[in-house]
Amino acid sequence: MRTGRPLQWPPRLPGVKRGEETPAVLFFSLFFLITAPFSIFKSIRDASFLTELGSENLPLAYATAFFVGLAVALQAKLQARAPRRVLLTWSLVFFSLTGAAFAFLLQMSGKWMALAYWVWANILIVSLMTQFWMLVNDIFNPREAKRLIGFVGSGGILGGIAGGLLTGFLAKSFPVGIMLLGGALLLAAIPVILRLTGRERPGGESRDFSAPEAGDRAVSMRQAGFKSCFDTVRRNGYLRLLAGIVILTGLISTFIDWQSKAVIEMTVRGHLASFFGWFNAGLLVFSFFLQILGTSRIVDRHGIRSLLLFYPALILVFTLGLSVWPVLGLAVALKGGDKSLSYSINQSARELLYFPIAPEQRVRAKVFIDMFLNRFSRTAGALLLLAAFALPWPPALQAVGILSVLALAAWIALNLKAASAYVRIVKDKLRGRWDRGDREVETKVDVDFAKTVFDLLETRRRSPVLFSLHLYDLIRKKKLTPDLRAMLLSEPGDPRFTALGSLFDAGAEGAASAAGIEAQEAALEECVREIMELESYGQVMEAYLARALEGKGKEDSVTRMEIAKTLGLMPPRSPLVRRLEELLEDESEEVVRYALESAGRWGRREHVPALIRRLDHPRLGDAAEEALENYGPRITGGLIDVLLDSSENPSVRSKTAFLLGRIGNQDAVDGLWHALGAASGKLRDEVLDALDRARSAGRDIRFDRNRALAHLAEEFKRVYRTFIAEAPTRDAPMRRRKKDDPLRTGWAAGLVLGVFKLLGLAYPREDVFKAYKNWLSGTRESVAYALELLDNSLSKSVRDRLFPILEDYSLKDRLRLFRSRLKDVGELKS
Amino acid sequence: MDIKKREKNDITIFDIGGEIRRTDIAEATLHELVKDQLDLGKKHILLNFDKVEFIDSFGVGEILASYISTHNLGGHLKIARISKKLFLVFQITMLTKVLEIFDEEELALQSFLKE
Repeated sequence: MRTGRPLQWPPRLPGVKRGEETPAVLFFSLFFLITAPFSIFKSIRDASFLTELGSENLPLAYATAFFVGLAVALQAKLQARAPRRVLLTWSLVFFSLTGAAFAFLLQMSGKWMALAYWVWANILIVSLMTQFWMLVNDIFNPREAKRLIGFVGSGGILGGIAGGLLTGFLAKSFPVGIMLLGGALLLAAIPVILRLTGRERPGGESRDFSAPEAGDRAVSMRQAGFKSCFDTVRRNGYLRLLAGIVILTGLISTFIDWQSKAVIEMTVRGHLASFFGWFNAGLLVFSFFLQILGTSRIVDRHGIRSLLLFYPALILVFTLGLSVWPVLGLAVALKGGDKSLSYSINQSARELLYFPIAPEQRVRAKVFIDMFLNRFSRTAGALLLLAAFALPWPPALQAVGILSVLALAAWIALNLKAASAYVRIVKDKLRGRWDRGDREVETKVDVDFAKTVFDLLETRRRSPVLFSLHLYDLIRKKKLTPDLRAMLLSEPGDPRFTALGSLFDAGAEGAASAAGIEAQEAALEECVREIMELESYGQVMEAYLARALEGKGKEDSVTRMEIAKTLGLMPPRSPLVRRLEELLEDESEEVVRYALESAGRWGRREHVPALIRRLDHPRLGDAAEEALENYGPRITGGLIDVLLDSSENPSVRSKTAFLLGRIGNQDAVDGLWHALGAASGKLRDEVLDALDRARSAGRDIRFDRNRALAHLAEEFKRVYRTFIAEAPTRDAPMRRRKKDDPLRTGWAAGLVLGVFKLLGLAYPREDVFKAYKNWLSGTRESVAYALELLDNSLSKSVRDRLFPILEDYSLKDRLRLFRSRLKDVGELKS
Repeated sequence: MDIKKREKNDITIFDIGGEIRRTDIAEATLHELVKDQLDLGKKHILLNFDKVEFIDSFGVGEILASYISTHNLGGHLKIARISKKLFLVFQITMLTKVLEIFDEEELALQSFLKE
């Protein structure tokens, strides 16, 4: 009987998700077929040059990069006019035919033919490589690229190995022309694969969601000449940074090439083409394993910063080694290290750096940087070497080594700057900021104003006194807007409003000036305040309240509402306010509501218990909450006591959590942390929300990251467990469309929001919720950039547990991932 | 401030004119004048504000003090023909619940008769 897992078909490709297999394999093949012939051409190039012209003329060969630059400029013009796939196809035809021509020309021998062939091979690789990566850039977003770049890149490396091995085996038995013809034939086969990639992934011009309309883009692309490409780079700081990196890369690569080839020429005896064939194959085998095993892991574990530093650090070590001890082994290690890392890690890192740039800018930048500057830097390196050779004392290996070390130091500095800039650009790429719903309402709607207006309108027929009190409230708060004033004055028949009209002197001449109205309002406010401060007023009202609130003569609820409202407007120290206590316990909910409002204005400690008692009232809870909120930080301790009191009503505890979140000072936050550890269910959600609210206020409050991560680990478990328990019945069979992802918009969305709230407590909240907002939108690009930002902001242990929740997976895959993660959620590291 | 006194059916009517403000105190304040009447045993007081152009909190204080004094002696103080603006102030301060305010003097006089 068979045991174990059934065989999967198609088989899992490293880093490739389901559904991406076909494009991944096609691009893998495409890259393979580009690099295999180039590896043949390159081995022949190096061998024929060293044989015909010798290493002392290498700087001359490097200097021909200038011609490559010219060819690149021409290609830039063509690029602006032709679609990517069409241009690539025609380039392949051109190089295939010219490669076949060189099969005959190179056999004629001659020094200049070797130089011409050198130039041709270099143009070929620059042209095809640039076009290939542009196509990849156009078609995949950063998330896809990060996943696929290792696999696709390894196709190129394998091609290089295959080409190298072929050359190594065949160079001794077959003439150069036959091998060149073979390479040309391989190139001719590429358009078929290219066509298939077009079917699988259409496009290849642009993919960015923020890109302009296609028509505009076409016009813009036509204008992508050399000048505009240069201007694009010149005007953008980030692109200038990338340009600097490429210049230094080219310089260093040229120095390394000369150093290693000089040592190889001195030490290798025998067939050079065969040596270079084996050498190229060998270094690419190393590159292949590095690409497959290293690149993705470095990106995954340490992020783009480490990826950018790994290469220069290693080259620095080899350069110093060769300068001290110039032997073949170290020469091979240096050249091999440079090439293998430049094919794998450096290429991947550079391509990743381009992804967050808008497509049009990217095309122009790549034309200028990768195609022109790359060549220019090699020419510059060559000129430096030529100048050095012209000196009476030609440069020693050590002198060039020192130059390399200096350039490497600058390179490391620029790489560090680029890594920081990359994260910043990804952040900018994300749409908008995320505001809590309640905060958004608060900033966009004046809730207090709206409530007072509604109260005003509601009482216009019910009680002239309440109406006037609400009106006064609006005046006091400077919120009696012209619109509202006009609306109130539009009912001249009503005596209540004629009083209002006289206040604003709205006589036959029409409405008074704004300044006049403002003065009238200020006078009224002062007058009312002064009256309420009068001793005689206190006496009169004392007697009235006694009559209205006590004994058999107790007045109706409307009067008690009026009293409750008026008490809130009394000046400080008014003895009348003690009457609020009985109104807070009134039998009428409407009276209590006004009393709560007034109590909130007064902020007296003796009222707090009554307010807390009202928190769980279905209709008065909000008013009690608002009143307590007006107390501010003074009642933090009391609220924490209620929150932590397990014998207290859970609904009251939830509301106190909410209030502590609104207060949001350090004591409140500490109390909430304390409560979060002990709370469960809805209370826990409320406490977490309160912490998030406090965090979102942006005050200078300390949030303990380790504490947040400890809770986050629990939250991950909660998401995994809930999903594993409920998803198979709720979501199977998975017939829903992608946008109905239960974790994004479905029944489990609340759980994910909880995760993000905790993330927001551990990491910069704005970034976390920016990513959340974009992830929530569910579009391919937004999700990709959201994950990219999180990828560069969170620690690996957090990412490992978060990404199975955020990435798109089938139900089956997600369940499998959740089960495996549930076993080792463990401790999260910051 | 200009205050004139007249009587009708045992009701003392004060016709007040001008501005009642802290900075414009007459020889005798409204409260003093009312107290004089109360001392004379006249406990039905009507304040007619028909000619009043302005009244500040001091003026309201005078009215309230007069009201208290009258009320303490078991009398009645009523107000007639106050401006709409003052009525609004009285509403905001809930004094409309305490003071008896009439649009017309005649209505106020009739209310005295009912008592």
